[in-house]
Amino acid sequence: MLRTSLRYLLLTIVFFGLFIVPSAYVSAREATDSATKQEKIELIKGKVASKVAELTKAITVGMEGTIERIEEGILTLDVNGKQKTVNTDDETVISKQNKDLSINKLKFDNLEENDEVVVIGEEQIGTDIINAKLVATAPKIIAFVGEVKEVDSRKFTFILVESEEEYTFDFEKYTDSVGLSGNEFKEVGFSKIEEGAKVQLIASPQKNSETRFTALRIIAL
Amino acid sequence: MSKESIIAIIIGLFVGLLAALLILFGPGLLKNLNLKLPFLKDTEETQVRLGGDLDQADTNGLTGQELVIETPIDGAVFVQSSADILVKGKSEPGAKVVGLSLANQAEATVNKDGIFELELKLLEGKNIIQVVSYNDKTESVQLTIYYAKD
Repeated sequence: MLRTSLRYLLLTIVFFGLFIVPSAYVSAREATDSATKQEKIELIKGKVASKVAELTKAITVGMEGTIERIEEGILTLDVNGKQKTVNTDDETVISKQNKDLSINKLKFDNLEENDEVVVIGEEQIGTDIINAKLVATAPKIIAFVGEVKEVDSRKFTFILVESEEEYTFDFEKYTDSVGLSGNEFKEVGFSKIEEGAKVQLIASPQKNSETRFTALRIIAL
Repeated sequence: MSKESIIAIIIGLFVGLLAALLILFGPGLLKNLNLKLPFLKDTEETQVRLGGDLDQADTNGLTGQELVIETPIDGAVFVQSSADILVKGKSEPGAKVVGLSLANQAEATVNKDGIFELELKLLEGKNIIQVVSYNDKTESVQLTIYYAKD
């Protein structure tokens, strides 16, 4: 009985093997060849598609520059020594940020040569041509954090020390100042700017001075 | 040839043929039936959670974590209808973080994983964003962000 079963098993394995091995070999080879060809086709397709996309791709950019030339709806900007052409149309927003951070709408004709502007728009890669969504003039703005060293309540000025450097700030009527109490911000006046207080602020530099600024927004801690 | 041998040959042929057919046509058949193996979907939520777990394992190592802003990056450009942005970063757990933009301010306490988020508003044009972390030491990071309303 055992001998008969072993014979069954042996013969089954032999015939099974005879059919499977060649079939599996042929199938695997065909599958590999087919997969390789398909992979190559996909690779070429991908390369062509990415090249086409690259040639037509426009990226959103933001930059600052000085207006060198103004023509009909077109600005030529100097951006860090590189010329950029800025196209504007009816949908381009042209604005001016005032000293108090309020914003006024301008017309294209209000722009002048040598104006420093911020441009936001779409630039087609490798062309230096920007289709502008926004062209804005704005004052220079710098952020500070430090400790109040001195307060002059008559002149509404205070001196701030940041990294061992001293800066003088004018507190204007439009200066927006808040205090942080716990987790809440509350509007405060100049009187809350005290000696020794930690202060965060955004300010714009005053003409002809590297250490005097106009405070625009203040957080007193 | 004995009876048993003939039966074994027939069984072997049948099984071999069946196996060969399965190998030849099996993959195509599976494709046509559109059978898919289950897989783990790599969602943003999963990534955040995995990232969170990783950080949690390293909580002790966050003491002295320097202030870092992860998003947005310096010089980022936003063209969108909303003027709000979410500033995400890392600092020392428990530190108070205060953000100041041209339009508003926000504060947060850094969580145990060293992560914080601040909701700040932008003005159209160039924006300066200042983030300061207050703990044993005071650290600050400043970003320039461009924003145009869409």
